[in-house]
Amino acid sequence: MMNGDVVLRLNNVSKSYGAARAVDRLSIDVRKGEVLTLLGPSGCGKSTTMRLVMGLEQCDEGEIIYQGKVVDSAETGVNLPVHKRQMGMVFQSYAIWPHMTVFENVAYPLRVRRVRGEKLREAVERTLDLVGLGGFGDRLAPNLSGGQQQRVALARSLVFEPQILLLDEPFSNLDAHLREQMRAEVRLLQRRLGITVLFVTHDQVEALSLSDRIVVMKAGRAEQIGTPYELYAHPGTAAVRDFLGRTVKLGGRVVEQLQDNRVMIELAQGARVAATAQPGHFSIGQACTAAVRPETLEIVPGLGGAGTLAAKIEMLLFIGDRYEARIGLGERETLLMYLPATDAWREGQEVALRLPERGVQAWPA
Amino acid sequence: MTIASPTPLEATPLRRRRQRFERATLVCGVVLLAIAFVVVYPILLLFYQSFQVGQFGTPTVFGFDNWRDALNEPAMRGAILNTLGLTIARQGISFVIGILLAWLLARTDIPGRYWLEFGFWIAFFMPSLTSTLGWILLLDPDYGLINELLQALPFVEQPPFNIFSWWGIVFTHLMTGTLAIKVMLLTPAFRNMDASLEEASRASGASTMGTLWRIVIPVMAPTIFIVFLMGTIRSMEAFEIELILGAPHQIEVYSTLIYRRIFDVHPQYGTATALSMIVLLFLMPLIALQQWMTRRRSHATVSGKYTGRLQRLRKWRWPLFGLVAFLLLVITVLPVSLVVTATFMKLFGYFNLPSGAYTLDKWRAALAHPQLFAALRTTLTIAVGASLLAMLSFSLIAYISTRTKFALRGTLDFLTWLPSAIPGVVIGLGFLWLFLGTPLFRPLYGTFWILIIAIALGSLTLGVQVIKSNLVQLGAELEEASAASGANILYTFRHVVLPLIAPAVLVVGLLVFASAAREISLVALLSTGSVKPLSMLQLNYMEDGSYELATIIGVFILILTIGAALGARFIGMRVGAGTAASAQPTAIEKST
Repeated sequence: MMNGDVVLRLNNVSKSYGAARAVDRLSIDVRKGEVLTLLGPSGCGKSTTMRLVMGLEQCDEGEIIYQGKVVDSAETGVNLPVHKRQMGMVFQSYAIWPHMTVFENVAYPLRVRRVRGEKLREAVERTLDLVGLGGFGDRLAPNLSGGQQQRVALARSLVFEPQILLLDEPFSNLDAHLREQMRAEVRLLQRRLGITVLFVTHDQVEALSLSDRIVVMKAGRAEQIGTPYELYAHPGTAAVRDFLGRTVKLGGRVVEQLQDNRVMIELAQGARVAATAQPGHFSIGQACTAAVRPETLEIVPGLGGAGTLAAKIEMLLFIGDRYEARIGLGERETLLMYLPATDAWREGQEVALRLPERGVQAWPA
Repeated sequence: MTIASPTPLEATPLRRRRQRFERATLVCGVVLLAIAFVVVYPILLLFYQSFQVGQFGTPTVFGFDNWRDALNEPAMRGAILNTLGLTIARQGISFVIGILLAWLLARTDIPGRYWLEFGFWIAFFMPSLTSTLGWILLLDPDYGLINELLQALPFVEQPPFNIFSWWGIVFTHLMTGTLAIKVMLLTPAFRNMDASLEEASRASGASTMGTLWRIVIPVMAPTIFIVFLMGTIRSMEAFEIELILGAPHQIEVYSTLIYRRIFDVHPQYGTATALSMIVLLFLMPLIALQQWMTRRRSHATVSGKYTGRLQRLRKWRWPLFGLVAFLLLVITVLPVSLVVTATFMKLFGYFNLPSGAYTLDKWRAALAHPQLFAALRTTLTIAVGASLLAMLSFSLIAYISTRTKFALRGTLDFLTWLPSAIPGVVIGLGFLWLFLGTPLFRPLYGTFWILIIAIALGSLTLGVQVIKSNLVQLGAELEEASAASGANILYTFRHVVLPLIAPAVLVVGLLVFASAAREISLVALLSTGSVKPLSMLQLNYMEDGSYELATIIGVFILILTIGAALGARFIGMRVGAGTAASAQPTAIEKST
């Protein structure tokens, strides 16, 4: 079936460095106007993938198709040089040329394309305004702050109006506050321009908040592809589950098959809980792990009765807007949880842990 | 979903991967071959020729005669022993003083640290023969100023010092660079040492000197040892000081022996070649050890950023400053001022003559002498030519080594390092075989070209290292960003790479210029009557004992070298801490 919406396609792409396979038969479609994020720990091949797309590396297997044109193919030997790919890229270090002013940095892609005079000045100033750097044109690059440098890099990659923008860990050099701000700004900018973005990060909060779809990568492969909510709520593998957020894991065994691919689990602590069976089927009596996102757990003071787990607050740290608590569950298990900032909590206090009706998942032990 | 039939390979904008790959590799390969040709091929030729018996022009046969002659040569044993003895004495003394000086400059609050270090930097560039002339004026047994002053004392009968002696040679070496280069190499290394190690030792109750001895020196031991090896290799290359100061009492080292065999009434190329091979055999284990240590050190390096507070010298601050400043003045200002004074003397070394000791006649005579200007022109031509060649080729090598995935990069790195370990006279002899023995290159013999290539080769290691560290600091993303912006390789090079590395390249050019103005051992065997640079003219005058003319040439060489060195320093500082200025000492350290 034809689909003109795909801007960029990676088809079975592989790239090795010596014996190490950095990217391993990876296939991804990037649709027009979406933010697609490559997420994974360092060394998972996400940066290499981006460099392959940009043409800074060449694939050993497979092909890359951009706007209907093969730009890199190991089989036919086609390789479009970096400077002809017409993609915008923001580098991790921003790579602002220190011997040029802000204006000249942003004007560079246009000068290369032989845009001159008034047209050049207008385009550069419009782009500088767009990223909030209007009036900064005369500054020398080394005199800019980290956030400003990033805006320059962004302006430079947008000024020639590319079809796709590649962002290589663009926020990792910013401090926490600035990172949040830039994240929101980039999202707004992307909405406004409708530009397609391929985004690489190792930070799951960035990935979840910025993306339309996420590709979780592991050892050069796509572990799972989906919207942020899909991945968070229904992780396909344990690696995706643990990488995207915190998980409370409780041991137990399957006691009953329910409808809609759900099972009843009897936890080691005694309580019974219904759970969505994640990959595969469970047989009755099979040992399993009940996984639940800690924010869906409810903690109530005192004994909670049936369907709850008896627990104890072992340690309580007040961190301002809430408490950080270490909750002991039975003899061995401890959970790290946040409790609302009321004065109801004491160290050593007996509490009950109520599992949510939906949102518990059964995984093979 | 599938994409509707991707447009297959348009011929123009798409390029074949294999083609591109081959073209880049071809350029890298050509550079590698060119370097191998000037670095390795002469050594192979020396090896081959050492087994060829017969004179130039006559048919040669294979045989061991040259080796037998070299090994039976009565002067050979003495020359090798002298080489080793002088090396050990120079290195032993300069190391003890050099480590103390480096520690004072890098780790203590001695006043004027920056200027003192700068002084040693200048001292490093001083032309050795010009300084030697200054020291002859002070320590000549007949008219040396210090000898005369001391003999004025009632209890001194004999002149106490004689510069034309074994210890005179050691002393002159110490005063003309051996000490200065130790300070230049060790000071940055000491500066990078983690100060908390020192502070912990002080906190544990150790004294300043106890800490230096028990903590600083052991921690720095790998670096110190590498600098020691490099210094040893370098001092085995010594040539011109031995040639001048050893002559009256026939103190030969192997390099002077090779020189004398070549310029003998009956030139003995075979023996000289075998001799140079023997020296290379001596150097081989040192080179191997040095390479091994350098590679190993990367794991054992001292931590980077944190340097912390400087050691306080308290009441010793000013006395120690006085001592170091005095040493610097003795190394630099003293010989230079004496040499300048000597250019106005009627008779070299005689500060008091009944008819008046001073005259302008020597300057008049020298300036009227066509030979001086011919030599000046030669030096300038070689210096400018070698600088240009170096700037171009070193940038290319540095770029290949840092930015490409050329498979033989390691070999290229080793080849760039090698010339710093081969004695100049040996390179000269190898070049002689290369240019006289290869019909294709024979026309180049006796031209500027052979000297230009030799001089550039002499600075290869340091020059490439300076540009390389500059490129490494810049990072590859600046170029990738340019490509991503749509610029091709040439546009990127012209608008991004070149403006950014230009200062470092210019610094390299000036350093090569300075070395061309004073270099002797590399060019001694290669310069001919028609192409004779200032430094060789000065050497010849000194060999003949015409010291007055030699001092005037010395002033010219001094102006050229120190001028270029100051220019390099100025550019390096203007570019700021991030680039060339700071790259220089570390680059020298890395190149060791």
